[in-house]
Amino acid sequence: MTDVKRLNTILGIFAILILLLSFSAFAYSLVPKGDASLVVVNEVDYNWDAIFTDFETVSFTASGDDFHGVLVSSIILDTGLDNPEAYTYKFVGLDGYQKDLSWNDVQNGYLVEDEHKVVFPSQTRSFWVKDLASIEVVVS
Amino acid sequence: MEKRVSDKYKILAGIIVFGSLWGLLECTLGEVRLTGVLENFPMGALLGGMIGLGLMALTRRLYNVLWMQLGMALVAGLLRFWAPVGTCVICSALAIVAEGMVFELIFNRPVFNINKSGRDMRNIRTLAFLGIIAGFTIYTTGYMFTQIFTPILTTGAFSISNFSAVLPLIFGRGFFAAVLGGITLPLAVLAKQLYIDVSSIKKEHYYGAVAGVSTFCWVFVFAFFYL
Repeated sequence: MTDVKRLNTILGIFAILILLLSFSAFAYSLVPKGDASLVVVNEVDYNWDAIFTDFETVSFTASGDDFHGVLVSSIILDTGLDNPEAYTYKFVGLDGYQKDLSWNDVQNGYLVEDEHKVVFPSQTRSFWVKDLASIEVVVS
Repeated sequence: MEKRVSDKYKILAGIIVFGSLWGLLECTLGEVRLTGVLENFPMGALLGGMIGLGLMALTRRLYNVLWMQLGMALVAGLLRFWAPVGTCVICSALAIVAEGMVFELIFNRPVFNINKSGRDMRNIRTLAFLGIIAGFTIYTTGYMFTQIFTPILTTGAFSISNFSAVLPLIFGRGFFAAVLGGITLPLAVLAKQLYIDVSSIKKEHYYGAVAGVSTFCWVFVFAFFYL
């Protein structure tokens, strides 16, 4: 086998593996990890539409954009959680993206209707989780 | 075999102009969100797998100078640092530098020298396969870099579970970078229309064009984000 053929065989195997594995990962990320019409907060189901009618919406600015949203902390407290500062909160998106935040950070977070996302004005955008599926309460 | 540019000032000017162009595209396209059927298309894959890899491969071909592309990444990262688009700007700037480092680590290997005369790196299939590997590696490294450094630099904490949860997303989006890399690398290395003999360009024309394009990139970014 010539050098070029051998190099092409090795590179080709790696390239095909990368394409197959990455496409599988992409397909997996498209499978929703929850019900898109609900957000599960501390094991309690909340309908997205109901959230914006049942809870008070407030206006705020984040990263230069104006938003209307519901305070995340008010929904967490609505689940009946005591001593909320003792826990960490895991925000999980339908695509599996997740971020952990402390109660201090959560108190400055909002659920917004656009993209069903959680917005933290005091955090960088990488902490914003779109298509939010659940907010899990984790013992710190 | 392409000529090696030996004038160090021309190389430095090349680093600045191509780094500025890369930085401008990172700043302007980085936060673009597509809709409709392209809703799931990650713009970062276009920036890493096509624009970043394409500019680095093209300049490696035009200048034939090792480590020049890391310099370009530093310039692009520096320009990105001044564009306050949403995310952690330091992390994005560092991620671009990491992408440049990955390119150097791959293409500085003699076996992957895209300026080598003759066989291997003039073979379109070899370049396509290498482009897939390089596009995927460059993009996923940059993405992982931001996922590691953003929480550390903004909250002082790093969560392994958050990082491992996002890995399928990173690798999945890397599919687009891999495909784009497989198209871009052969184009950047083989397309005759993209080749200019940098050594033969008159200095006054070369430095004039470099100054004009670089100034445009920096002024555009500052005007776009601060005025």
